[in-house]
Amino acid sequence: MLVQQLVNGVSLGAIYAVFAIGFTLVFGVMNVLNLSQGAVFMWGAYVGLEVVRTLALPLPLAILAAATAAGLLGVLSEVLVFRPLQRRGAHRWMGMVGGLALARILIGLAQEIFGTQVVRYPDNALAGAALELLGARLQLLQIVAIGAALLMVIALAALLRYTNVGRAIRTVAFSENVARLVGVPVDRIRLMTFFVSGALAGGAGVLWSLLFQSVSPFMGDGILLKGLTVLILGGLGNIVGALVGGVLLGLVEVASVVVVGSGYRDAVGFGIVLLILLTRPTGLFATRETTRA
Amino acid sequence: MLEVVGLSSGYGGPAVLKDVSLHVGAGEIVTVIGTNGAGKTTLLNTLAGLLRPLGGVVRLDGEPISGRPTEKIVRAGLSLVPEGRQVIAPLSVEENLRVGAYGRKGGGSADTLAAIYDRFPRLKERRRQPAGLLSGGEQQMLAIGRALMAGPRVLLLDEPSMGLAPLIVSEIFALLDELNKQGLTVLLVEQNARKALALAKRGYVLEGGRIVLEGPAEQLARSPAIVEAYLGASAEVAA
Repeated sequence: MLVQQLVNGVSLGAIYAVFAIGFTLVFGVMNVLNLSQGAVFMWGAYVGLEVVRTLALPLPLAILAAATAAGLLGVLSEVLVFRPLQRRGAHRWMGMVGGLALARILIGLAQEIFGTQVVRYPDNALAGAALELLGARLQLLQIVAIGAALLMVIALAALLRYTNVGRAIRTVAFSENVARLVGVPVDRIRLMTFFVSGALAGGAGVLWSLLFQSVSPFMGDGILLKGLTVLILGGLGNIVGALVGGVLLGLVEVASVVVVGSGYRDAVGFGIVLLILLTRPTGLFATRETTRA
Repeated sequence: MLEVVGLSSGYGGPAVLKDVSLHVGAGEIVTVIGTNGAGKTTLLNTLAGLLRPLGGVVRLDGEPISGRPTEKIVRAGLSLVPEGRQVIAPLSVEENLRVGAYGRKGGGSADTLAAIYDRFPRLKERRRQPAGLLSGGEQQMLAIGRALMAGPRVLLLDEPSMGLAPLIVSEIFALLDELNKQGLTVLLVEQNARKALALAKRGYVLEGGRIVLEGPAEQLARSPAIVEAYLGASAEVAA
């Protein structure tokens, strides 16, 4: 029972983490809070679904396609919203409103194209297969979610730490002008960052829809709030913090369902975050400059 | 090598820099002196492409570079060591240097890195530490090293003496002299007119966004107007 809940919590948290890492990356590098991220997550879920249903391709390919499409949506949000606003010297609040506007457009489009009813991925091996471990039933999907989250964090951390592009991204995070002065093409680096961020959201979208067996145009709103929570919990712009914060939120939610019932899941989750922030206002992992993206 | 003709620039309001013309020959070391607010930083930021000129033209080896994005200007061979050093605090010393080679055309960055470590053993010792933990003088050395990593032909420096102890300033000026003797073309913008004019061959005086005086450095250093305005009474007391 305990092991079962632990697995449920960690796998849910892993999906939160993947979503939140994309969120925190864009925030850490460009100081932009991209509120269209939830809609990008939803579009990822639909693209994955279409690839599985109409093209009948296997799930890993669907995740890849969803991540790519969502990454392109991330690029689009920079080109259509954030870059023009920055060029006009707009205040950062305007970027938040712009992101929200883009989200509404993406949600409206999804309603038009896919309809408003809740749909689900067809039964598949990944969600169906399970194995017994210490009396707990582990869905293969849960293991994939946890593995994918870990893999993405490690890959992202390695990219940021050990590659030329990673150093360039961190230099842009420090100062766009300094980045320009050392010859970094800042616009291109920003596009890449938005792509990675969108791709993470899209991948998370597919995993989430598989886990909850539901896809709808409005599925992005809830995760957006949770992503914000994790972003703050882990320390703004802190990637490792987002991973730990995401898993923590997943565990807290699952625990609260067990202890006080599912109606209070979000209340308990957000309540605990509030408590943490009252005692540690900068998040669990006060963003040390050295660990910032 | 670097030629500036009728350059005007600013920040969206009235022009800060008005009709500035100057030139720096290959292998030369030239200084622009001026008080706070004279437009020195605006001049360098415009040359480096961080600001778009309102008018005029900047040529590097005859090729117009004004209006190009900064990263292209860096690739063309012009690097700026910005005011206040601007080392990338969260990155390690070595990462600062390596990101400096991002805009380098062709190879050779490993040789430059080795040469920088040879010249500044302190940077090599502290290469794994975050650059933000370095002293002011070390940060200035790092900022210069980072600019050199791009393999520039022309190096622009914005007040490298700012906020540093006199001994460190002398060290930095000795370094600039050395780099210049190795063939690097240098345009140095300074408030510390005495030191800048002692180092440079020629100088310009920037006042209210305009060049008001120019000539050989020794001549400027002796000019009564300069002595009064820039080398002034305090300098005499110090001397």
